[in-house]
Amino acid sequence: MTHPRHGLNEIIHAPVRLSIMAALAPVEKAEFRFLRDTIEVSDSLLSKHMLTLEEAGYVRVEKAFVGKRPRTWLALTEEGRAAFKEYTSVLRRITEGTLHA
Amino acid sequence: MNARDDIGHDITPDAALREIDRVSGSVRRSTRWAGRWLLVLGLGTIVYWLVMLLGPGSLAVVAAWAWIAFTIAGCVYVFRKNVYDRLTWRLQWPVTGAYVLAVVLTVLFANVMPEREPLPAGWVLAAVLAAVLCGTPPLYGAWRLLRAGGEER
Repeated sequence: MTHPRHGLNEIIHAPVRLSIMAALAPVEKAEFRFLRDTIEVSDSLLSKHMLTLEEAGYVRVEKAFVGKRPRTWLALTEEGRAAFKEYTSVLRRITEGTLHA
Repeated sequence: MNARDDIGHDITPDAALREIDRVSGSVRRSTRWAGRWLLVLGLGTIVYWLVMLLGPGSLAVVAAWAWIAFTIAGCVYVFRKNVYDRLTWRLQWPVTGAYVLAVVLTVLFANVMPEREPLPAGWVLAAVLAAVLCGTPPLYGAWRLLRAGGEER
């Protein structure tokens, strides 16, 4: 199995999770509602995929209260950053291979 | 249900790269507030201290009230933000620490400034220098953040 596609991380390589990782990669942390509005998904769908990424160790979730108002902050872990970097590297290898084929 | 909720799992590598560029570009645009905020803070600091050190007493009172209002508005503005980029996060404590130190030094300078009129040229020059130096930490932060702009941080 030498084709770069075999190196694609299947946890990240799904439309919503890919968008979540791409949104969190350039930031230190982002609030749940910001992420939801940026990648244009529902609360429930975002929660579902965040759970998958959290269980994989790619995303850290912090809950805080401002008065009575809950705020949920999301951030990539070091493992998540490394996985996303590797994932984009594999994507580029595949697309460059396609161009040169 | 949002329009994108029902997207399937098939995504081509090209489409994945395009989506990464689109989303990360959108997020980076949302994080530019910090650079703009520090620019306003730095320039506001210089104007404030120029007025406090060299302006007439009546103007100093206005400047003091304006500064209190600006500080409160700034705190609310920063607190309401819901995304922090990595460079802002790294710079926040060095810039804050340097700014606090600069403010303390400027206050000490204001206390030793003579009150006689007209102020000797050397003291005027020193006051201008003190005001500019006090605004330098946030201006440095603004320069770093705005220069980074849409680049990878």
